[in-house]
Amino acid sequence: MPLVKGITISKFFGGLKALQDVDIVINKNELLGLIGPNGAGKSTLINVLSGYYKPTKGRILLDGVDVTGKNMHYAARKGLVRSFQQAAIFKELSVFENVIVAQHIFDRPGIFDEIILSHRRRQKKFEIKAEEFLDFSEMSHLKSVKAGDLPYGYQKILGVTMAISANPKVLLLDEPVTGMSIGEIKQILDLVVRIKKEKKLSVLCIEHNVRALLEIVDRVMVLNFGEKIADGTPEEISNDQKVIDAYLGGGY
Amino acid sequence: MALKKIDFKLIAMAIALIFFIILPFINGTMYWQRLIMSLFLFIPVVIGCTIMARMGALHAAQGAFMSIGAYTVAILTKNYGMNFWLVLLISIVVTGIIAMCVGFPALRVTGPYFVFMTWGLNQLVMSIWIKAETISNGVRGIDNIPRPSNIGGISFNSPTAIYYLGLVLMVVCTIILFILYKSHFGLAMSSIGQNHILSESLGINVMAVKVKAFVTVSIVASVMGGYFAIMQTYITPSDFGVWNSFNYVIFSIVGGIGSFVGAIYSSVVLTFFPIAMQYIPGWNPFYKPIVYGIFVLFVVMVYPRGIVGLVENAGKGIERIFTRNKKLVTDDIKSK
Amino acid sequence: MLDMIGQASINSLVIAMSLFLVAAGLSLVYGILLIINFSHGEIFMMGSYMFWLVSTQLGLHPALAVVGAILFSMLLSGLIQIGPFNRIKKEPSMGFIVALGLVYVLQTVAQIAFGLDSKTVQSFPGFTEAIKIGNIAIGGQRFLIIIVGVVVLIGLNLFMKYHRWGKGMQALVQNPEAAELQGISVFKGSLYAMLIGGALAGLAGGLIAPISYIDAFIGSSFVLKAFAAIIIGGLGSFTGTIVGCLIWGFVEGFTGTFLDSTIGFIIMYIFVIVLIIFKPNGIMGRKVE
Repeated sequence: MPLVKGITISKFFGGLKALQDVDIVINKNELLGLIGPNGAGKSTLINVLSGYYKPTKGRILLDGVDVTGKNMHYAARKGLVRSFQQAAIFKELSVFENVIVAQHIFDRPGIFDEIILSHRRRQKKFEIKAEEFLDFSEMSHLKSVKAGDLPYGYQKILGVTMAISANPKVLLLDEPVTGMSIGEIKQILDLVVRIKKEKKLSVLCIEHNVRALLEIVDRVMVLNFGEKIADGTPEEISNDQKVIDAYLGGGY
Repeated sequence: MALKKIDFKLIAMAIALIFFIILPFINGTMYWQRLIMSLFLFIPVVIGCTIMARMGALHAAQGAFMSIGAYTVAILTKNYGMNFWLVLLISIVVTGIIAMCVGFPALRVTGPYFVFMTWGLNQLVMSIWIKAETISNGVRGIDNIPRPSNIGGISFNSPTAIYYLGLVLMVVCTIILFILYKSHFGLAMSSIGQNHILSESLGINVMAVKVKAFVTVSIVASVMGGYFAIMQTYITPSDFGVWNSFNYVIFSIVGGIGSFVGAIYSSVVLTFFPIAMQYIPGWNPFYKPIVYGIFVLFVVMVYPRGIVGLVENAGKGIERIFTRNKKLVTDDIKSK
Repeated sequence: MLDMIGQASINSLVIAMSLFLVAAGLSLVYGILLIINFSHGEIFMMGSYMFWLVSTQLGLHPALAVVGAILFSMLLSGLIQIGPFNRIKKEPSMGFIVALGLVYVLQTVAQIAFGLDSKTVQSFPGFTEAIKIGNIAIGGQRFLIIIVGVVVLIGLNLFMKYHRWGKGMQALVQNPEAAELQGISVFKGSLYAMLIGGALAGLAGGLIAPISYIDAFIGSSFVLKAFAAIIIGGLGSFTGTIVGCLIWGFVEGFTGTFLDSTIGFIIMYIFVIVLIIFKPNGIMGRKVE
């Protein structure tokens, strides 16, 4: 059974068609790329899958559980976490604190079961895990820096790190390397690959830098004007006429 | 260094607490006790505003929730002779229900919309107390509110007993709010205030957190309102009007935006400022709103850290003086 | 009975239009600065006092007094924009706090400057007589308010659509960076919005003063209702604002005539709650977030 299954997802904003009858499947331990020209609906698809938007039509199944129309936190708790295109971090908190908040997913904040002793034990556990995640992302040396002071590249890495530390089963990355320098792109894409390999997660990755993306993914899905036009291995996609036409010969 | 700072605050709190406990023994007149009872009242209410402000929600209805507690206590104990303690429980439940009903729609929206919802609620509740003359006695208010009945052998007939009740209530409510503020729940609230979409995407049920906080803070205000009723023994709608609610919001900001301790400091200012000003020649109590307005404009425009910032700077200054002296002493010893 | 309904309708219309004169400026400022200027009511209040000052104390013609009110309100708004609002433009959520501080200051200043007693002024010359339609009467000044309200509505819509400034201000809200690149400065746009908003408040102050009274608190009661009307009507739409004002006016007018205005307030409050839940953009507004 696929980890994530989106069935005939449509999203209309008034009269504007953003997505139409898009089927998407993300399998366990798979790195799926999502590409398409600007305005194709890639971000909208992530927004719908994660629960940020409610689909106009269609259903979303997470490990067999129907999460259609539920709020984002519901999908997050079921294991579907996303990152944001504009690096979404808590600018006023330190890098370390950012990763701790991300682990909140395990802890239902209850007012009356906040006994000081067990709170400290829980806090310790989160702190240890936060160290691990920062280590994984090679950001340990920055742990006390205020997140808003980080250079943009590191902010994006932090965003991805936070998404991972929410212990997801599947990670939706919205253009993680857009706006990065070449070195940073390599760093982030390496991180994405390691996420899949070492953390055994499934990852959906939107990216405009098609060449870089095709090198790391297992499978690719292509959107154009809100509809799916292709779905297959990187070789199949790069030879697909429809895909080439959609990009007007450029982008590869 | 950080440890020293915490110690200083705890020591100060402990000293203040001891002072509150022994006050009735050093000063027999009710003058200071009455003043400090107002302080007991303000602290949890202003802290409540601060907690909500941390999530970006400006709670302009603390007055309304206080009035719910106050009128419930006044009406049920005076007109129906019910036991104060039972009524307090009833008012907690009633306030909780109202806070949830208003909170759910109000907290879905942010910023000015939320302010409007709470401001509107305050106006609404005031209008109800003013118009429903048969239960609330309208603008004339309710007087001769009876003292709480005995509980556990303690009698509340003396004003000093009411004073100690206030102390206990203030401490209990403040501890509850502190737990809310410092715990993981508090971290969730803070992250919601900074980026609620990100918080939601990480699994924090933003609505649930907001509503829980709102209900807790409002219930605390209601309890303090009930205390107000038996403390003053006379309540009118104007005690809980919109301007009082706005005062609480203003002072929670002036204390230092989002600062728990700041709310306590500013409650002290709110309590003692009018008294202190009496000693300045040419002062007219009418000028209070201008000063409050200038306070808050100053904090927002120039010095967001508020009173807490001032206190910390003062503390650092004092520390520097001590370390400088130590350095001179050690230099002295070395040169000998 | 029909007469009562007719009279209540006229009263409602007057309430709605008075509210609109105040709400229009608030709506404009909210639409451009994205700050709800709660001190807008106090600008209106100061406008009223200025009108009183010029017409009764200086003995000048009410038309001049209105001009005086407008100018003074513009000045006040301009100062607010250059000072406090400019400071917090990076943090619009603090807008309410700043406005609240201003409310406190302005109300007390008014009390100190003009005393604690409430003032009254006469209706404008030529509008002192009531107009009768059958058994329904409408005061001359009230009729004037309705006319001016309609003119303001049409004028603002045309201004935003066709005038250079109006279009510039709309561009600013939709895309501040692009607008800046085109040479439209955010600061200037906000300033113009505040100035026009202030002028509208001053106009309202002068027109409404004769049918009511003047004291330091008339502003805050208007502002809450005006804000409700703007929420109902939706952000960025003057047509929406007038719709909101009409709804409020008629609920208040009819409950005031037949029941009790407090019930009217309760109805409106619940209505706004329901509206926020199901249609947060208001009846005609654009997206809030």
